[in-house]
Formats: sequence, C-alpha cells, structure tokens
Amino acid sequence: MRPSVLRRPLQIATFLRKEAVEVLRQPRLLLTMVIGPFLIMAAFGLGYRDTPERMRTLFVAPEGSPLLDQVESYADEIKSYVEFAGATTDPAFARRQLLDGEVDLLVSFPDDPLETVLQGDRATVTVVHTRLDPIEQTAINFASQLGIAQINGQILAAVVAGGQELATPAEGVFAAADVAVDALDDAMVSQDEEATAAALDDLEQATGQVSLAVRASTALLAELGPSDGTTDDASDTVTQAVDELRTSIDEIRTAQSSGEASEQVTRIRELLGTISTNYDELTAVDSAVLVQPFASDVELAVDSVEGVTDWYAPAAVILMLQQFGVAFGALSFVRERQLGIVDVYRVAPVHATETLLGKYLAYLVIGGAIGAALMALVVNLLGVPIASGITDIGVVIALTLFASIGLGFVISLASASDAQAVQYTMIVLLASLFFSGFFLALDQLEGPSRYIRYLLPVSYAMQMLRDVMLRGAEIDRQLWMGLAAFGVGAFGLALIGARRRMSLARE
Amino acid sequence: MSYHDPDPVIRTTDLVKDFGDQRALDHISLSVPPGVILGVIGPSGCGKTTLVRTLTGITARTSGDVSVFGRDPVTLSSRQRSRFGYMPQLPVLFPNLTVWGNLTFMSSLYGLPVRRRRRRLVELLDLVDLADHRSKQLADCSGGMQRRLSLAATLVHDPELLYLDEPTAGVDPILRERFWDHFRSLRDQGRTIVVPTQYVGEAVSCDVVAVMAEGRLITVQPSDQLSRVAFGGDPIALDFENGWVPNGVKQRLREQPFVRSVRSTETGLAVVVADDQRDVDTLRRYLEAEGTTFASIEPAQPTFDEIFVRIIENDAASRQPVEPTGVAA
Repeated sequence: MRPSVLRRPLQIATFLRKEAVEVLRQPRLLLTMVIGPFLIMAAFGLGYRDTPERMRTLFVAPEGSPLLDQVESYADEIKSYVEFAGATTDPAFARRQLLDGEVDLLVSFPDDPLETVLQGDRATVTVVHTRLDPIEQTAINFASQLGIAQINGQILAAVVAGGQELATPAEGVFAAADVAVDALDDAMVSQDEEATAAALDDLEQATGQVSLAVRASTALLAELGPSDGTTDDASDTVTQAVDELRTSIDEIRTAQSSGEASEQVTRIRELLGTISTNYDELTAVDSAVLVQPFASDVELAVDSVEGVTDWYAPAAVILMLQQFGVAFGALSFVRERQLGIVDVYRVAPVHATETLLGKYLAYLVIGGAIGAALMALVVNLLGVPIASGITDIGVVIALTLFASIGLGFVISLASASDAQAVQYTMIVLLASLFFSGFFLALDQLEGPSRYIRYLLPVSYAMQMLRDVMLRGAEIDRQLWMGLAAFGVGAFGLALIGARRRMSLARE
Repeated sequence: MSYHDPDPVIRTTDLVKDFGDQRALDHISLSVPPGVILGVIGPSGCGKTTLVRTLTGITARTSGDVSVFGRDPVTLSSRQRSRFGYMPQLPVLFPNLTVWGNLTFMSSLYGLPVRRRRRRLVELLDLVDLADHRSKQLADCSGGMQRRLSLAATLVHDPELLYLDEPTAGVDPILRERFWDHFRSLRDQGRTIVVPTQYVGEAVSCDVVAVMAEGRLITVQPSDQLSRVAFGGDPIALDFENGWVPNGVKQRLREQPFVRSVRSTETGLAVVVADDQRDVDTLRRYLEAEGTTFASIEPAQPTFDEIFVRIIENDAASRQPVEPTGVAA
C-alpha cells in the first residue's frame, strides 16, 4: 500500500496518540499526580508552625553564683526561644535530664565569670543539646547567640543605669556654674577684677564639666544619627551652647567696656539655661535602650504572600512536573525496548526524530494539563497568589516540561532496564530536593555543589515560577534562556541516543 | 549450499555472525527467489532467528555479504524498508492499547493514509479472527490472540517480503491452517515469505526448506525433495509378517544395483531407491523372484519430523571424525 505524503506528521501523531492513550489508561495514576501533591501541600500548610519551637532549657551555674538568681529573668528575655525549665548547680543531674529527654537544652554558666572577664577574656556560656538535624543545630546556634547577646545587653544595661545614676548630679555642675555666674555678675558690678577673674575661672571649670557630660551623651546620639554626621536638635543645641559659652567667657576676659561684659553675662545665663534643659533630655534615655538601641521589625515588601504554603506551592508544582517529565521520559524507551517493539521501529520507515517528537508532544500535553490542574487547585483552594499573568506561568510550565522530558529521555536511553531508569529518576528527585533551592537556600551551598543546580530543570523553573507567581516579576531572561538551553541540549542528546537505539546493525 | 535463482530477493554469501566466541551463523550462503515461501527449520538455538534478524538488518553480520532487494539491508532507505515486514518471535505490541489501537499505530508507523487504512485493518482482523475483539486491550488478550495480532500488524502495509519468525507458535491448528492458506495466497500474489519455524510439519507448506543446525545451513531444498535428501533417495516400506525379516534379505538387497541403502524398521525394512515410483516394481519382482514372502511393499511417506531427524543425524554423522580402523555401516 502506497504510504501517505503526510507520513511523517502521521508518525508523529501516532506516537503522540499512543503515549497519551497509554498514560490516560491509568486514570488513578493521573489523579494521584494531581491530588497527591495538592493534599501534601495542604497538609503541610495546615500543620506548619512559623514560630520556632521553644526549647525546654535547664540552666546550670556553680554553687553560690549570683547568676543562679538571675537566670529566670535571662530566660524571660529570650522566651521566644526558651522555655525556662529550672536552674541547678548539679551538672551531672542536668546532663541526665538532657539525655533522658526531659529537657532540650542545657545552658551552663562558667565557674568564675568575673575572674575571666577581669583577665580580659570573655566568659563562655556553654549550650548543650542532643539535636542531630543540622538545620536544628543551626537554629540552636543562632538562638544561643541571640540569647547571649540579650544577657550581655542586660548586664550592660545594669552597668549603664548605674552610670546614669552617678551622672545625675550633673545638676550640681549646673548649680556651680550658676553660682559662678552670679559671682561674676557681682564682681563686675563691684569692678573687682580679682573676683571677676576668679569667677571666670570657676565658670570655665564648670563649663568643662558640662562639656564632658554633653560629649558622652552626644557621642551615642551621633552613632544613631544620620551618616552625614548631623545629630538631633537637642544634641546640636547643647553642643552649640557649650561652644558659645566658652566664647562668651573669652569675650568677657577681653571686653573693653562693662556694658559688653554685662551683655555676655546675660548671654551666659541664657546658654546655661538652654544646656540644662536639653541635657536632661539627653540623659533621660532608658539604659536598656542605650545599650541596645536597635530592635528589629521585619516586613515583607510583597503583601500578597502570607504563609509557608505560598512559598512552597510553586516549588512543589514545578518539582512534580519535573518528576512527571523525567519519570515518563525515563521509562518510555526502556519499556519499549523491553517489549521488543524497538526492533519493529528499526525496520519500519520511521526515524528517531518523529518518534521523539511524538513522545515529547504527548508528555507536554499531558504534563501541561496536570500542571494546569495543580495550579488551579493551589490557587483556588490553598489561596496561593498569582501576581502575574497566566501566560508567564504557562511559559514556565512548558519550559519545565520540555527540559524535564528531555532529561527523562536521556536517562531512558542510558538505562539498560526499567529498574535502572527508576533509580536514576529517584536520584534526580533527591538531587532536586537538596540542590535546587526547594528546602535549602542556594546561597548555603559552596564549591562545586553550587553548580549541580544547573543540571536540574527544577532549579531554573522554581525560581522563575516563584518570581512570577509571588513577586509579579517578569520571567528572568537568564533563567528562561538557561532552561531552554537545557531543554534543547537534552533534546539533542535524546535524539542522538534514539537514533543509535533505532539504528540497524547494532547487535 | 544454496538455492539458486538469477534474480533473488534475498542473497547471502558466506554469511557469518559471531556473538563473542559463539558462532551463531556459520558461512550461510542462500538465495531466495521472489514468490516463494522459504521455511527455515532446525533445532532450537540453531540460528534461525539470528538469520532472520541479520536479513532485516537488525543484527550486524560479522563477515560475508547480505543483500535484500539487491542492497545491504542496513543501507535500505525508508521507502525500501517499507517493502518488507518483520514479525518478531515474541509478541511486541503495546499492552495498554486495544487490538484496534495497536493496528492503527502500526499502520501509521508505515504511513498508511488514514482514509484507506480502515478497510485494510478490518480485513486483517478478519484474517486473524480478531474482529470481535477489536476493542479489547492487548493486556487482556491471550498469548495466541497477541500472536495473531502481531501477524496482522506485520501484514498491515502489505509488504513484498515477509519475515515471520514462528508465526504460528501458540496458534490453534485450525487457525494455523488458515494462516498458511493466507501465506500461500500471498505467495501466489508474488510475495516472498521467510518463515523460521520449529513446527517441522509446516515444512510441507513451504516451497523451499532450509535446514539449519548449529549455525550452519545443512541443506536448502524444495520441500518435496527433502525426503530424498534425507534418505539419499526414495524410501520404500517393505513390511513382513510380525516384522520378522528373513535371514539374508537385508544383505542381499544391499547388493542390488537399484538399491541405495537398507535399514531396519519396526515392521520390516526401509529400502532406499533412486525413484520409488519406478523402482518399487523392480523391488517387488526381485523379492518374488528369490521367493521372499513379504506382507506389503509401497513407497514410504516419512513424516517431516522423520525427515528432519534423518537430515540432522546424517549431518552429525558426516561431521564425526573418521576412525582409522572404522567399520562401514
């Protein structure tokens, strides 16, 4: 029978149809591929706590340590991380409690922290735990650093508060300055040069003390102020007033007439008043604020993203689509070889290109439908936002499938059996979980491990879909080109492999 | 050994195929003319399937020459490959597709126009007696049904040359006969069919039979000549009462010029002559002349199993190293 002039399109279509029918004849499989990930994401979203686990913490300090009385208040300071489980002086008991799982953390204070500090060293507080999970270990390290910072701040605040109490008699300095101004005024009225000079010396000395106190306070304010060196109003006013005070004293010393000197005295009274008023404002700052002037309040610039599901849902959809493409692609040629049908392809007038294109199209169509169904579920039922257009999402899904199916075909053509193909597919999945940014941020990888991501379609696609769906950004040019290049490369390799498999005289 | 034809569809010359140290085809020279059914028979593992796979081009030859339609099968173009069909030894269709779906797939693989294929597929389903099962998934079909569908799939593009590797394995005798009727019908239309088979009895349906053993082609003969080759002539069954052969008859017969060989059977003797139709009367007259009483004398009709066994035994005997003090049989 003479073949049709449309033989090649017919062949592509028949492979498309064959693959599609084979997949569609497994409705449970398809349902699982859509419902499964959705249920997993829903369960994850419902069960996930976004606050860290509070660890039952037992504090250990030597007998007689003053820290024993303070640990509860320390624990209260870091209660976001720590649940106070008591304090003890018995390290062995504490360790037993830890190993028995009665507590999660031991915080051991050093024997003699004062001596260590006086020697110029930091006294080490030891945190002991039994958690093996590296992520939990990182969290404990982070929490312990925060906790120690809190305790250090608390101690420093106590010291500063004491200093402030000592500094409060600045009022005496101002009083002495006032007395010196009065004495100066009297001496000038009585034209007693010796008394005037003595009063000016007293006033200069008082001004020095005021200057010292003012500089200490303004130094802190300067650190908190703008980077151009400007400070706040009170600080500026006080600093300028002190400078002017010095100038006025110098001008009285060189005044040519009693009138000029009298004006300067009046000015000095005004300046002292100004300094006194604003100085109170400077020293009224809480010592706890002084030692830890900054607190953090983190806000997400993207309003629409609310929960952990929003973050993981796009990644899960992409991972699912990748695995669909890889798994079906990987089993495709292997299964046919095991069936023996490849021998029929070899002798039939069909080329690897038509075979491959038909299979690609079938999996693209089915994968696209699965992707669309999954997206509809996560958006409508889990409330995951879509900040950009559907077209962008479609492009990402299509590219993901194109690259993943290609990867699957490469695996299939490199595998000697379906068991081997399944193993390779599982390795791709495992690698995707570790190296794609699904759970771990890519910045946490270094060295050659960083580059493994480029071998996984999910790495490109996950970032693109998150950007598009959650941030409303345009598709990153480098990422889509990278993924497309990956897909083209995989297609090329698959074509070479398929040609070899379907070529004659290979046995 | 070869079956000569001036314009063969298939020709092999000193074809050798080795799988590692194992020689699967040992200097096969064969020529198959158009419009014949070539049966390839031989014990399991003798190289029948390897021969067919080499002829299709699937298996590469180690040495020697192969030509199909005048060209090396490995270099045949797509169009030329459409001229032959290959049915592998095991059913190789898709278990998740229906009977009809599998046939549709195969017809598209060969680029059959959509409009014309339906009638063709219906005809083929009728031929293989699967018309009532067209919607059944292949996975739900029996082994025999899968075999039948596989045959239909091979015939779908109406090829000039068919390689059918054991097409009737697992097929019931009635349907088997129908298949052979169809093969003969195809042969009559000028198609060439190569049929490796373990059913030696099917050799009678072939025009030419190639007998293989241990990768070698022992003989290629028209099927009606195979018996003569096996026995070195035409066997005549000479039966005696109770199977008792009078003394000296066997030896005396061996000395007669028209007798090629004599051997004992359960009922008497098998006497091989050059032409059974001519020499049966000669033999009868000789026995009557010497007064030997016998129960019956008539040209023997050995089964193809017997012929096949005899050919294999002859081949094995001819390959035995000759003993220096050997005794003639």
